[in-house]
This record gives sequence, C-alpha cells and structure tokens, in this order.
Amino acid sequence: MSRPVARFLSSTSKARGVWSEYAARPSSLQLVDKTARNELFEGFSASGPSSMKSNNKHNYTSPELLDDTFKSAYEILEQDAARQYKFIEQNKDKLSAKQLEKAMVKTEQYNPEVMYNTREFADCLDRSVPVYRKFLKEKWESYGQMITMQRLEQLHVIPDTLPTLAPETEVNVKFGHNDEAEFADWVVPGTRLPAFAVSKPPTIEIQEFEPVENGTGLYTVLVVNPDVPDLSCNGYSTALHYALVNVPLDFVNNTITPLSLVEHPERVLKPYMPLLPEKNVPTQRACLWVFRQGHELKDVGVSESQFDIRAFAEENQLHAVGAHVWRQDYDRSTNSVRAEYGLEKGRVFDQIRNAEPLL
Amino acid sequence: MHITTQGLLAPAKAPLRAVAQVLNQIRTATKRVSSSRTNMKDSAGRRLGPKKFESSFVKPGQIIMRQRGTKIHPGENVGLGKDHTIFALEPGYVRFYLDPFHPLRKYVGVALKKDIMLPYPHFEPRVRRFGYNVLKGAAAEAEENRMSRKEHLAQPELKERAQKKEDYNNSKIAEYTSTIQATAGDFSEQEVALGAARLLFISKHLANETLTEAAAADQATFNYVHDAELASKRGESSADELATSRASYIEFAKKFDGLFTVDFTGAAHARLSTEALEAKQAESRAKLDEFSNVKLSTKDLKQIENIISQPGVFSKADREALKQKYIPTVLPESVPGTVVEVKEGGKLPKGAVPVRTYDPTTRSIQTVYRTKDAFLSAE
Amino acid sequence: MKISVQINPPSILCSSIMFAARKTNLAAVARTFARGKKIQNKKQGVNNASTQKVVNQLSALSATKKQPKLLKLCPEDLIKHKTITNAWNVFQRKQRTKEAEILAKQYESIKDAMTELKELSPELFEAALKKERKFFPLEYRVPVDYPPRNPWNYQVKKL
Repeated sequence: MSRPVARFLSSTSKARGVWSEYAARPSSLQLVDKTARNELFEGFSASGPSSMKSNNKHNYTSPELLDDTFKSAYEILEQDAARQYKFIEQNKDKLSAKQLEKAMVKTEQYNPEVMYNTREFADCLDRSVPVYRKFLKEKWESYGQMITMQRLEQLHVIPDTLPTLAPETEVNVKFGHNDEAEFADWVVPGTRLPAFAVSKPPTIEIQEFEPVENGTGLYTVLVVNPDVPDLSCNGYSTALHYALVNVPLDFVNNTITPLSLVEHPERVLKPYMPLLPEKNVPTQRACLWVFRQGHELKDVGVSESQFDIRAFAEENQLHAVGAHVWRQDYDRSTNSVRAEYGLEKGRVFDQIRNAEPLL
Repeated sequence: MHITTQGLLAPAKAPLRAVAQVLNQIRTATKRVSSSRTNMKDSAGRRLGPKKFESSFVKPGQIIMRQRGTKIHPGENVGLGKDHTIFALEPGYVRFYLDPFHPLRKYVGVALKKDIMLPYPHFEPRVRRFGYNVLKGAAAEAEENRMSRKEHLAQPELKERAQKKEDYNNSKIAEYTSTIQATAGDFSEQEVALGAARLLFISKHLANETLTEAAAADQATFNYVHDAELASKRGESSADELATSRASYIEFAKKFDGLFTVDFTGAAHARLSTEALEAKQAESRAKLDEFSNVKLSTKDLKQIENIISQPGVFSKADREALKQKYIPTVLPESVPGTVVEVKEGGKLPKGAVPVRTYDPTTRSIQTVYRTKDAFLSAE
Repeated sequence: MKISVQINPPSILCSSIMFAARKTNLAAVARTFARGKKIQNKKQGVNNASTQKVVNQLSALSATKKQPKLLKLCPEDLIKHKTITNAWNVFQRKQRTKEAEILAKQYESIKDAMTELKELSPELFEAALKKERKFFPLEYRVPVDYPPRNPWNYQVKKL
C-alpha cells in the first residue's frame, strides 16, 4: 500500500526556512530520532508509524488533511520564528541576558522537532538550549519543586535551618555507592534512609534554568543536621556534616560527583560525615542547602558541632537557591557505619521521655 | 312565713355552698406528677473553663483548659483531647495568645522557657526540648538490642534476602574472575578480585538503570578511594600508603576499564572500540537477516536469541526491537509455506488455522488459513 | 497488499478459536466469526446467562462508556495537531494586533482632526462634539390585540 506522502522538508526543496538551517543553530534542536523525523515530515511507510508500539499500527490512519494543514501551519510558525531571529540579530546588544533568553525561547518553542524532543526524549535534552531549559523548568515547577517545598515546610527545615527559600534551582541527590535499586536512585525529598545507604557522599545535581545576572557561577553546598541532642540544655543543636565551597557549575555541567571532589580537594571545606543517629533519638533531618556565591570564598572557617548556618550564609554573602532533605533514624547498620568512620559506639537513650524542663 | 322564707331561700343557698365547695376543692397528686417536665432539665455544672492561667508552670499531661468545642485552640506544645480538653505536652509556662495566621482564634500554648512569648517569630528556628535520658551499662545494651515486633518478625526474611544477595554476588564474582583470567593474564590475583567487584558494581547499576556505565565506573573508583581514606583515618594505614594505594587503584581502574566491561544483563565481555562494535553489530544484523522470510525451527529461534543477546553488542532497546522483528508472534504471510490454500466449501486441512486479516487498501476483512508453525508464540 | 497479523478477536481468545476450528468444518468457522456472537471466556468467570446480564448492565452504566472516545493519535500526528493549533493561535494573535493597530490609527487621526478643528473654529468643534439624542419614534408602534394600560404618554415631546 502506498500512502500519500507530503514532501516538503526534503533536501531537494529549494526554499529553506530558519528551522531547516542546522549550521547556525544548535544540532540538538533537530529531532533525536531520525526515522521519527522522516515520518514527521514525509509521512509513514506502509507498515505504519514506527513510534507506535501496537501490533495493529499498519491499520493506523491519520486524521484527514492533517499533512496539508501541518505544512501550512509549519510555514506560518517558521515565518514567525524567522521574524524573532531577525529581532534578536538587530537587538543583540540592547537585550539583557534574561530578555535574550526569553526571545530565544520564542524562536523555537513551536518548532515541531523541538516539541517532539521534549515530549519523547525529555531525559536527554540539551540544557544549553534556552527552549529546552524552559521546558525543564516548567516540568520541575509542576512537580519536583512542589514536592521539595512541601517537604521543607512540613519537616520544618524552614525555619529550623534557614528562614525561608525562594527555589530557583532544581536540586537532586543520589547515593551512587548503593547497588540496590531501592537506594541507588534519586532520593525523593523527605525519605527516611538507613545508615548504610548514606555512608558515602552523594552525587548532587544542581540545575539552573535561567541565566543569573552578575553571577559568579560558583556554588556552596552545605548539609546540616539541626537535630543533634544537646544534653547541656536538654535541647538540640545544629551540626555541619558536609560543606563544599567554590564549586563551579553551569547549565550543562550541573553535577557534583564524589570523584570530581577527589580531583579537586580544595572544594571540600568539611569532608562528608553521614548522620548517625543514636538509639531512641527522634528522627533526624539531613538538610542540604545550595547557595549561589556572591564572590569566591577564601579562608573560611567552620565550627562543626555548633554550626550556625544563618550566620555562615550572611557572613559569606550566600544566596540560598535550592534545598533538599532526607531523614535518618537509628537502624542496625548505624554501628557498622560508625566503626567505618572511626567513631565510638553511640549512646543509648531511654525509650520514654522525661519531664525535665528546657534549660 | 318562716316556712316560705325557708322555702324561698333554700334553693338560693344550696348553689352558693356548691360554689364554695368548688373553690375549696384540692387537686389530687395524681394530676401534678405527669406535668411540668420543662423545669427539671438542669444538670450539674460541668466545671468547664481554664484550669491553668497565664504564666503558670505546667508539667506534661496537666490539663490547661476544659471546654465544649474549641473555644480556645491548641497552640505550641499542647494537645487536644477527645472532648476538646487542652493539656500540656511539654513542661513550661502557659501562654494564651493570638496567631496572626488565624486572626479569629484564641490559642493556648506552653512556652518552654519563662522569657519566651508565643507565638514564635515566624522565621526563627523553633525552640524544642530533647527530653531523653542516657542509659548506661546493661540497661543500655538491652535497650539497644530491643527490637520492635515488626523488626523481630522480619528477621528471617531479612536473613534470607541477605543470603540470596551474597550467593548471587559470589556466583557473579566467580564468573567475572574466570572471564578476566581467561582473557588477560597480566593482572595479579588481588587485581582480578578488585576487577570482578568493580564489574559486579557496574552491572548492578546498569541493570537498575540508576547510573550510566561511565558514572558507575567513576563511582566504583570513588568507593575504593573513600574506603582507603577512611582506613587511613582510622589509623590502619599511613598517609603515604593511602596516596600510593589511591594512585595505583586509579591507574588499575583506567587499565581495567579499557579491557573489560559488562552489559545490562550482567554479562562481562572485552571492551570493543566504536568501530569494532559497529562492525560486530553489522555482522550480527547480516546474520539475523538470514532468518527473515523463512520458517523458523526451535533451533533457529535459539540461534536468533543468541545472536541478539551477545554480550555488549546491542542495547536494551535495540534488543527489544530486534526480537520484535525477527521473532514475531506470527510470521508474515510472505514467508513461503505458511499459507494454506483452501477451496471454497472444502474441508479444513489438518493443522490449518484460520486468521482474519484486514486489508487497508480495500478496507475489507479476509480469512487466511495459516499453518501451525506460522505462530511462534504458541510453541 | 495483505498483512498477516491477527486482528479482532484479541490474541487471548485466538487459541480457543484455533481449537474450535480444528474440529469443525468451514461453515462452523464462518459461524464463529459471525458479527455480534459472544465468545464466552471461562477465565473471566462469565459463563452463565444471569452473570452475563449483570455484566452487560454494568458495562452500559460504566463511566467509560459515557465519555467520548479518546482520539488515539501516534506521536507524530499529535505533534502535527499541536503545531496546527499553535499556528492558528499565532495567526489569530496577528489578526488581533492588526485590528488593534488599525483602531489605534483611526483614533489618532480623529484626535488630530478634532484638535485642528478646535483651533480653527471652536463653535464647529462644540457642534461636532454635541451629542444627538436619538429616540425610537413613538409613532412606530407594533399593532397589538389589546389597548395598552397607559394609552398615551402626554409628557413626551417630539424633538
């Protein structure tokens, strides 16, 4: 059976719009799957659309006149995009970084190839391209950001550590040393993790979505535990468990892997020490904060046991842009992890709470 | 006259007496009992109201307020009973206060210190009491070993799982060891063990799709380096030893990764260069093409499976696509010898299976008779 | 061109048809394919008339039956559909801005003309701004079956 084929983006066609000029634009704007691209612009083969999984796909028929209408729609949108490109060309110097970003998004947001990529290949989008970043930001705002903020508020990470947070970056955490699927994947904010699952430093992914005005591109990451028992006052104190400073990150290089820190030990202000709650201590929160640095930090001192994260952020002009949290309880692997880190066995607290007042 | 008078007066006096009698009449008790229910409804007072006042010290569990409904809402460090009784959860000082987030409510809470006022400043850290005593000696040990019922009941299953994991790991390590020893001889015994462990770690990440191959290899290197650092921190090795062992492992990892790798099924194999991989893929595809448009025996099917699942040649998606292509559930009609010609009204030959097919060009459904061996999934 | 992939009945039921077909002749096979014939599946537990009746009733009531059928498009066609929608939006937006521009231009020219008029002759400017009171003429009345309650409004004067 032969299908009606609409050839309008083939190499032989003379008039080529802005969306067909791949020399000037990033190659990642092309559809990733070559067969899908062919099918999008030139129609399906007799065996039906290859992107369909169904056994019945050879019986698939497109809606009537879809190809012809698509062709004219494509032309309209491409002309619009060409106008946008021209506008950018003319006003390149006048536009600020954010305005330029917005204009760049406008040029490609309706490109069917881009739309296809965002729909089908969302995991491997090129983060250096504004339109994909915008898509990723929207995706994050529709779920990940809400989950993170809910957990930060309900677990009182704010205001117990920092007063509040206006989230700007997506922060993901993964403990890659685990080989079990349950613990090796990205950590959902607020999850309770056993000690063995956090015994080595995590891989941290920090995704910026928009260009930063006067940004240094340097980031600080702190992991604090605001639930360390302080028996002197019968209350709690905050301890610092991990501190990274002057970590250069951008849209594409957005991941801090543990091995990269072995190669750059100067970025580690305080080496990783997992939270190791003692028996019967209430659930402890590991609060991971990501800060944008106003300047490069030099000769910073930290007190590990009585750590004041608010004072530290203020002193060093750190602007909090993202956070993450996981929780820990005492479990049967805690003692072995303690031994690994050369710590003594933890104290054991009574199961029942006393009535002594706060001092 | 007297008589007449009597006679005249008598009838007048009798009704008067009757009136007086009516006026003096008493209602008996039987009537009164059944009425006036309304006045007897009052119950004794329920002793509601605040039991503790502003700034008074309370211990955990002490009642601060008895009420019907929440006249006053529970604030910081207090609880609400089933009859809306407010009681203290922490020792401290009672505070009656208003909360700007709920302007129509009154609150009562317990401030943990005398100088703390409620509500807390919104952006300040909360003030919390720890309240647990440290146990010492035998009591501490007993408490540490105490298990919840859930944990206790889960022990056999946890043990079984750990054993299963260990068995799997051991078998895989043995497999990888033999693979490494078979292909390259210049690794020491210790390096072979390290390499096998490395492959096992990477294979698990690939199977779970939690890290890419390169990231898993990096993580494996880091795991070793980190363990070495901790050992040195514990005083088991000196700083020099740490530096040398770190450097030697990184070098070994580089060399090892150049020679070996695993695929997502956990099969170890020699690493192929990009050109070699492409050549092998092309070769495998050519081999597979020999099986297109022919009837497939069980032996053929096995051979196809083997070609597709060669370690490290095809990715997971590729394998699925190839399987769909070369081992379809039903062979296409173009395969010679899979379609049975049946005359109209004739008897169905033995082993022929009617299949209804749709022809999109004529938009009609036809019945085609296929031989049994056209159906691969049935076998 | 024919394509030999089994369609309708679904694959779960195929084996039962196969076995049925092997024993019977072609006429019986043709009957099996008769439209509307229910193939009872013992696995699903629907094997008597009363159960079937309940199943039929429930399926007639079920929410999925009441929803309009979801149009199943392959990813390419979905993208095409979205592209067409986007183009239509862009086209409409352009039209709206064009209209707004024309209106703005018209307003500007009216404004210019009026300011000029104000300078040239204030009386004519006033006259041009004067509002005409336009009423519907009282005489234009629709013939009705009954006289109105208030037959004539004597206060109204013709302008």
